[in-house]
Amino acid sequence: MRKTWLVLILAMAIFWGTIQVSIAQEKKEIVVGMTLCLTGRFAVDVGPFDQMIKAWENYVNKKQGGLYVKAYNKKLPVRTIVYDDKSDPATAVKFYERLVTVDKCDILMGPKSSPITFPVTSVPEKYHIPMVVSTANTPQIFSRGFKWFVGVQQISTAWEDHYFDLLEEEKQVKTIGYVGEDTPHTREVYEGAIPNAEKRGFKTVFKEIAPAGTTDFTPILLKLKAADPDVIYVSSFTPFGVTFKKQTKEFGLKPREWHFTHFDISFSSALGKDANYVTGAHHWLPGLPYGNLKKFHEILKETKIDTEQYLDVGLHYIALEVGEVAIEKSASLKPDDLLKSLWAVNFESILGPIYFEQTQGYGSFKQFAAQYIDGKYYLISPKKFATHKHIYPNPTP
Amino acid sequence: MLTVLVQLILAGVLQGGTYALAAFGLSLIFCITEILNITHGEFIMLGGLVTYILFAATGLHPFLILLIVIPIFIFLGFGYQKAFIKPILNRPPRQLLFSSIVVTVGIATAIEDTTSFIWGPTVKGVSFSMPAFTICGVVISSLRLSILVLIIGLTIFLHFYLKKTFVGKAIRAILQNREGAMVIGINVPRIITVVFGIAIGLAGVAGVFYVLLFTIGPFIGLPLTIRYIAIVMLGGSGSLLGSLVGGLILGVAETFAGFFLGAHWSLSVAFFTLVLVLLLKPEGLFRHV
Repeated sequence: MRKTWLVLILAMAIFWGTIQVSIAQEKKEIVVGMTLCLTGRFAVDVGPFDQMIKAWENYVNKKQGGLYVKAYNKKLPVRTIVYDDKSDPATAVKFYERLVTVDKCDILMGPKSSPITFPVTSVPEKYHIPMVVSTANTPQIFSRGFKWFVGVQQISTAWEDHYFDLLEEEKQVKTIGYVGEDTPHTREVYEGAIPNAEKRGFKTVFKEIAPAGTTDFTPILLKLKAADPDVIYVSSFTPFGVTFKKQTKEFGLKPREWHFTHFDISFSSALGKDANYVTGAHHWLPGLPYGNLKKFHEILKETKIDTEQYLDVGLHYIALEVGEVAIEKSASLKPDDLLKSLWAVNFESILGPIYFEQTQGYGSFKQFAAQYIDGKYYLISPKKFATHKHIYPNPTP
Repeated sequence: MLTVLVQLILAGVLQGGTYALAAFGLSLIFCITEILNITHGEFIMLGGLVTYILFAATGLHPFLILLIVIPIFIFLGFGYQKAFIKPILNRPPRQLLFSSIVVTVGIATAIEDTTSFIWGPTVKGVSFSMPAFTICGVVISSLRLSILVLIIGLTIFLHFYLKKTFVGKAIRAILQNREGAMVIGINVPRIITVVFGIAIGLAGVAGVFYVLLFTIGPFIGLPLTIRYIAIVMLGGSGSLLGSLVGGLILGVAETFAGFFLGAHWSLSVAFFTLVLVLLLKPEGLFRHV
């Protein structure tokens, strides 16, 4: 009899303990973590994105009442954690480890750039926490067979599809000269652009990679002048691009078109009127009809972020959108369920339809082509959303 | 081919000239005080930033802005020396070198972060250009040529300043024999302050030229300092001629390697040249002012 009582008490204790554990495990908030390059070499592109992340958090919590979690059949508030990785991969890895082990994030957003994202993506893989990569699209990031992250962009080799589509359609350009800055991202865009253009019939008359930080472009300019391409295509970050463009004027080089893969407002303000009619790759610009623009505009307005100044704003934002969709469609907040939901994401973001390639996990977004005309950026391709006709050849004397 | 060669030499000389200007200030400080001024590149960045701000606000011709930048940076140099360098100057030689690196790296970082915080991390450039002209098929950039003429003028002025004026002679005396200079009544601490004024003034001038030719950002300073340290080692510390020749060698080597081997090899070849020179002449090409 005494034995039976003991067994009963033990069983009740186990039952009570189980209930307590399950109550303790019911989450009170959804924690979203990331690092951003708030200082260091990439800070120039990131600007006040930490404020945008906070504005998104406020919007979701105050206007949407949080994000719906199926397992609890209710909405939970979102809490974001952003650390400054100082544009340093090792620092970023350290902070992502912290986001998982100390801050107990439910989902991670990727940092800025491929060189930082590459080592960072080993963290979600190691701890089995899902991540949405935002501004990195180096093929090597996605070809390692890792499963715990997806990226919103197409891989960098497909960077210029919209631009080359436009040139192919217009049939005015015959030859292209390529210059690439030797960083992993810009090199891949350069290496991807050449076969992409050649298969459409554009002849390559010059191609050369120059180290990041090159200040004197005389050797390249002399060769480019002899090659006389219709388009000079420069795959580089802004400082390299500005210096290059400045020096071409000093050499009297006048192609029919200039194309720069990164040409935000710091590019045009540093070059002044010399930036006029330059074309380039852009992410979100007015004229795109996709997604919940009201929410996007409200967040931008609150944080005073100019999409012309910060090209990457659209990418960081759609990573958050992907996170929202994945969480709300997931069976629970358990990493396995979230990951399953993440890979199945398919919705209309502010940059158009977003879904993921099902073996490597890179996204469907391709950069739009834009042209800087009289102090403003206009979409020129895809043509259905063009806010200005492509001006070719460059009329600058 | 001849026109290409001429163009390459010209470009290398122009590039080397801008290197030399900034390197001389660094060299002078190191030779007089044994302080490795890691902050030097930051002053170049600040020179560019002041130019950018003045150009945007007033639209003044950048070469006129130069006349404003020079006195500002000379006084900035005086203040910098008094506030941060003077307190560590009396340390024993080896300790002084390490202390100077720690102090100047700290100040460099503070300048970078402050600049980034106040003016933002975006790259800045001055939208100013001058038309190129062609002589016998050689395209010459008027802007670069003007800058080269100014650098040559400044170098000649500095040369005579160091040779003919009392302060110049005092600087040279300290370079040759510091104790001897003190014995004959030279006020060494004051001369050190003047040296900082000259060096930071030159960095400011280099900054003006830098922002005209390239772009600036808050974090360009440290990589620039490293390049200028290489030039100082090549030319021989404390030598005006050494900095000029060192800068020219680096500039011309970069340009030629860039053309014949590809831009990717330009820096490697330039620094290989540096190693070669140092193997043959470990003390650098020239000695002292």
